[in-house]
Amino acid sequence: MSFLFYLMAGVLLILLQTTLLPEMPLAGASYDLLTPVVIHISVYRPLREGIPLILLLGASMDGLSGGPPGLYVSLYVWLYLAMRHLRQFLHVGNLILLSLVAVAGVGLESLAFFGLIGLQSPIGNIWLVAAHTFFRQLAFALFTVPIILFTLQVGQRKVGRLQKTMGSENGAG
Amino acid sequence: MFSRKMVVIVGALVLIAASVIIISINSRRSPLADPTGGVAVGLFAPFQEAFTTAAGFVSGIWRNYFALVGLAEEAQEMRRQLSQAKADLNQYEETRQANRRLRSLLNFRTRTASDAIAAEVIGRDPSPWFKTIIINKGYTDGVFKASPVVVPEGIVGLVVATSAHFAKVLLIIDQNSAVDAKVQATRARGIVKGDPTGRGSFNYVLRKHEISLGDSVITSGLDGVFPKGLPIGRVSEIVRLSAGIFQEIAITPYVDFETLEEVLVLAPPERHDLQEAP
Repeated sequence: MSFLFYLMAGVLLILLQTTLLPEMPLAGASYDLLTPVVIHISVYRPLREGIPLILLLGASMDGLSGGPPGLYVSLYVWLYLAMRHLRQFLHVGNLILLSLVAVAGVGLESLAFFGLIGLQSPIGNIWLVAAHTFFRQLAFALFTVPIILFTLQVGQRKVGRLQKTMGSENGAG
Repeated sequence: MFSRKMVVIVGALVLIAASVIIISINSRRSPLADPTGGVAVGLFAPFQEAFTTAAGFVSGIWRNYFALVGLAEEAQEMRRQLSQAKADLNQYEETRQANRRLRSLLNFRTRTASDAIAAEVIGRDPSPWFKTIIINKGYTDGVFKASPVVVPEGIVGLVVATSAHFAKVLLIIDQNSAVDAKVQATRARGIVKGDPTGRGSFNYVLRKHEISLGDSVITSGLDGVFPKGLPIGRVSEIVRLSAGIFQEIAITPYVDFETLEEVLVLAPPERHDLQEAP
């Protein structure tokens, strides 16, 4: 059930990202809304559930984006593995710390994009635009990532409780 | 024999190498060669269409009704009527503008090709660094890979993935896009490439050609994709280097890609190897 919850959350954010956000005034500052989801999955879901989720979400983004195929899958897998490693040292139950880590994830993902774009089209003025967009994305992420993570945490708790209730009902039956 | 740490390090290095190799190979391939793009488009586009429609509806309600909430009670009836009138006016204005756009598209369609297909933009690229749009026409409507997409102001892009009822269009401002073009006045040839800043560069134009700011750049028809003579953009910057055989030219596209709502899809070029079977 939690697999479905994360999948639905991911799909909803993809739809927001491709339909509503580009029409808003902050469109230039919009970042990949799935980054906090990937971070949340890597912290709270086991490997056997996390990997298929990451691959599905990454493949969906690759299919909708004009970037090279496999780009989002690779980025998500790397974010996922890095976060799995980091959680050994970080107190990931803290929403503020988790938000900061997710914002750092947004920044790393943007840097990966810039690297790829810079390699493909070595145009001088792109770096100025890239830096401007990078900082706007980080600022936007600082405000919105905690909201996404908080919503995911609340949703995950509710799904967990629902699962327990259903489990105990089945056990009693 | 090997410690766990060593295995992790080697595994990480292998994974890094594999992902760098895969991405660099994929980034050099033509966007038309991606066979999986249509799957995600087919899965997500119906929801994108529903979202876009719902968003338009909600924003209409927000503009025309909720903005009036909180006003004095005695004026409620008048204001309700005003709200209704505003909603109607907004609807008329939307209809008038859509009518103007569609009329323009229709005239353009008559001028260019009678078998052009009109489509609506229902989604945009998830990343601000890549420039694609999703349209609500697919291969059952006659939209195939490599079909050129245009509006009366100029060319928009190229279909790179299709599903039954939807298609993904690579815009000419995407860095993976390249269009064979010429300057309308001097006939100087070059390649228009997109860049992430949302403009375009007109590459491989020989230094011997006299190009002026404001010159119109049109399709040459030599790439076998876009028909000849369609407008692309206007020359906005010229740099003549002291060395080299080419000059550096930036162009500003005629099409405003931020406000794109309807497009026309022309018949694809006669390249059957690129077309998908329905």
